[in-house]
Amino acid sequence: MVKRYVLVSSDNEKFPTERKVMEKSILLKNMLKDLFADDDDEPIEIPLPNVSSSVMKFILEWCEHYKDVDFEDDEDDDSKKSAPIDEWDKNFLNTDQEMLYEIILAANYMNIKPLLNAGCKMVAEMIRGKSPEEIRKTFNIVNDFTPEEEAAIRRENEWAEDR
Amino acid sequence: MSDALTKENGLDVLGKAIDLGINHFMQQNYHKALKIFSKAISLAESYDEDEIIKLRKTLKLPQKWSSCKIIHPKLGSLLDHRAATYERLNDLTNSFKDCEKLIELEPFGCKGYLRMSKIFMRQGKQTKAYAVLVKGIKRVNYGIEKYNIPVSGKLLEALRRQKEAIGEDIKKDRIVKQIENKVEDKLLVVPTKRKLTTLSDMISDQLTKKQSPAVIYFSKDPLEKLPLELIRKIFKYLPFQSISSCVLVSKIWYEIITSFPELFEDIQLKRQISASAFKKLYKILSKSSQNRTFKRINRLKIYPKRQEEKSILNTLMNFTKLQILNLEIYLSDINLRDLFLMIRESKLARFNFSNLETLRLEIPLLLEFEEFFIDLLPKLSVFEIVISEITKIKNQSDAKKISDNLKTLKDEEDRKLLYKNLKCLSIVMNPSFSTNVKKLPFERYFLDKKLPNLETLTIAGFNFKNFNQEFVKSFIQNLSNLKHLVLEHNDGLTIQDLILNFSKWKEYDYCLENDIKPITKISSNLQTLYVREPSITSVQHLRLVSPSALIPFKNIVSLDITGSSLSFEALIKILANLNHKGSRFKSLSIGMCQFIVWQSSAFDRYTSGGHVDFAAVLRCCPKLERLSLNQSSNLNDFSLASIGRAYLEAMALQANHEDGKKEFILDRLDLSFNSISGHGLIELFQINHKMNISLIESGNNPVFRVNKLIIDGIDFKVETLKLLEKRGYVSEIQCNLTKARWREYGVNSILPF
Repeated sequence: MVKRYVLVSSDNEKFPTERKVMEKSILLKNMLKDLFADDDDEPIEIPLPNVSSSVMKFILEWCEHYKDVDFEDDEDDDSKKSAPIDEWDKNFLNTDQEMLYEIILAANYMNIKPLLNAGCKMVAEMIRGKSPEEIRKTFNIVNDFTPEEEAAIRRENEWAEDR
Repeated sequence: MSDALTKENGLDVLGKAIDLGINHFMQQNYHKALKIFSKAISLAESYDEDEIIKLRKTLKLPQKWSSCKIIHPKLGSLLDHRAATYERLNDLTNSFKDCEKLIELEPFGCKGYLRMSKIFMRQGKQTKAYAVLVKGIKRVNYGIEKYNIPVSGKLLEALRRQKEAIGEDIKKDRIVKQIENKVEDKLLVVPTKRKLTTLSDMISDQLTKKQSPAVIYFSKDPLEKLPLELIRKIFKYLPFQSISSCVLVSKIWYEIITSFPELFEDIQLKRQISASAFKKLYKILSKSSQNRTFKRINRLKIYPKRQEEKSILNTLMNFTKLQILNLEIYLSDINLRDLFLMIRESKLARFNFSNLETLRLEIPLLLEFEEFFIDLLPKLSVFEIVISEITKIKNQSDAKKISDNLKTLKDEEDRKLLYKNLKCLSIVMNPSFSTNVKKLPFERYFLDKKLPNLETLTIAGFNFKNFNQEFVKSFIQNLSNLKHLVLEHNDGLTIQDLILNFSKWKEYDYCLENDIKPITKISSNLQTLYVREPSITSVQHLRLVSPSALIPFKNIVSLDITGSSLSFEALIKILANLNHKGSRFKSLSIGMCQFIVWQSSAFDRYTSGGHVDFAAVLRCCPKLERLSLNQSSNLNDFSLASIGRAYLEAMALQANHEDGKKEFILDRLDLSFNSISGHGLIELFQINHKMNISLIESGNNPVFRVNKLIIDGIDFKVETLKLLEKRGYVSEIQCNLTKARWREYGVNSILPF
């Protein structure tokens, strides 16, 4: 018989989940390795105290989508660095910034590398090619340089290739 | 300059004065800037109303708003510039006066309010600064609504942001005050300006912010929400240009970003960088690597401003503990000798460059001196030099100094030193100076066999007729590990000369003839051979070339003889000689060869060396992937059909073998600048159908197809090109009609001359 697993979010919501889906998370995958199947059919509950239910929904949707895809182990080499974000990921992560950060944090905690990479790339894309003022606007950041500091530092900006 | 003249050209003169003043301002010559702005202001104020009305009319500017005085169109920005200058000179009183005047004259513009608020901030009068901004925003908006006054959105935005920022500050200060009041009344010290210098300061600042519920916190700053390791990950996805924008976003961004040295390892500087800007970069680099033993730069590209080259080089060489791996630098005042001496005489510079692996230089050259250069760079593996001009020795004393220098160098030199690390050497000469060059720069490296491991050699733009002919005959013979040879635009060195001189095949032949076992083995490591000749006079058939002379070329996989003097007969002689029946040969470029002549009709007259027999080419190199036939002699639709027939024949030949491949895919086919028609092009691919019927039963994919077809300079109908793509014959088409010639500059030139 198939073992049932239930993920429990920080706000105590329960998410019954397929093992295959859960194994997208290396954290859970390693955890499951150490669990021995008991005979009773009590579902196994796994608490994830760092992930709220709203974020968990997102994470599980992502894992569900990719459950049949095998990702290569090493994602950190340079060729991957310049690769564009996958279209589906781009749409999936097109949410408000708060949620994007939460997803990134959860992906980091649950060790879901491809999701983490896509999330970080999304943030990088929000910055790429923008002027400081545009970046401030994007993230609602207050310019806390004094006018003199800004003038001094602005001159430091003269070196970048502006092509 | 007379007054009348000045006034007539008033706009022009004032515009120039502003530019000049700003220039001084940028270079921190504030006193000079002040003088210029003051003069310009009195000039602008000397106009009477009629003149100004006329002027504004010609510029199609509106006349005036309600009760405001009518002014010269440049007066406003002049006052703003002068106020900024006073501010820099710490003359806040005068700066303030200019602001007041500016606000009086342009009450609906943003600049006066912005500047005045800055002055108040400098005086620590936050509340006043805030009030000025509020007033400014109100007035500007009024002006827009009531008089439809055009206002720069950017400036208005700056007003708003500044107001918000100061407002926030005031709020925070009040909270701080309240907190401190509670703790101890007597220690009521309210900082007007909080200098945040270190990361820990900032973080504790963040903590106090979060503790105070009165501050409504809207920020969606990823740097505050995410841990450092993830921030690092995000910034590593960004190019240097973005990083340089990011440091200006806020103090936290500046501090955090400059604390990641790995973000400053790949630096591409903008063109014409000034010495002062380069020093600022140095400051950031020092800061970013303060916790490291070495500053490590993977790649640095510098294109200094003229006249500031020396100062920039000095800064670069005096970086302490820098490890620089790849450097690209463009110089025009400093020649290679100067550069050599600068590095040689500074211990720091020698250290900084001691790990250099790649050096690309564009630089004037002083002959005789270049030979010692690589001695300073022991790890160098790629050296590319573009010689933009030949420096002449100016006078006698200079000449003496140089010859003394040379003498010391020759005395000190270790003759046995080999450049074992050097794998790639590229010497590109500006051809317009080549007549004065009597020897190949760095020629001694070849004569003294200093390059045992050289794999790639590029020589371009020289006139070999000027060189010692013994050198020309022998220089290449000692490079036994050479894999890639590119010779482009060199006069007096034809491909036949090269083949005859490449190896010691004459000794080899002599041994064979006299039945002696050859001592010298002819190496055949060469994989790439590019010989592009600049001016062709006579045809070469290579009939006198002995088969042993072709041994070094047996393993070539890529041959580019664009514009060469070879005939078709000569080409086939080279191709027929390939090892492994040519099955490893991948790329052939025979464009612009005037003696490789295609048959353009069934009735063409005989041509010396024969017409192109493409079937013969395919027999020699059946696995061809890239083919360039740009601007070929007589190539037309008839010739294209012969290419088609050749593939058909090759296909039939393949079909006889069980394991033969059943399709021909050209990765790249260049047919640019030929007189071919859309019909001919489609006919070329029609062979697919003939093949399909007779040979291939599998699938719908065309068996002869091209991944990238290049047909620059030929005007085809769009429908034709669409058809080619639709039928799957071609995946990508490049058709550039504006291009005047096939390739205007050499492939090797770092910069076009």
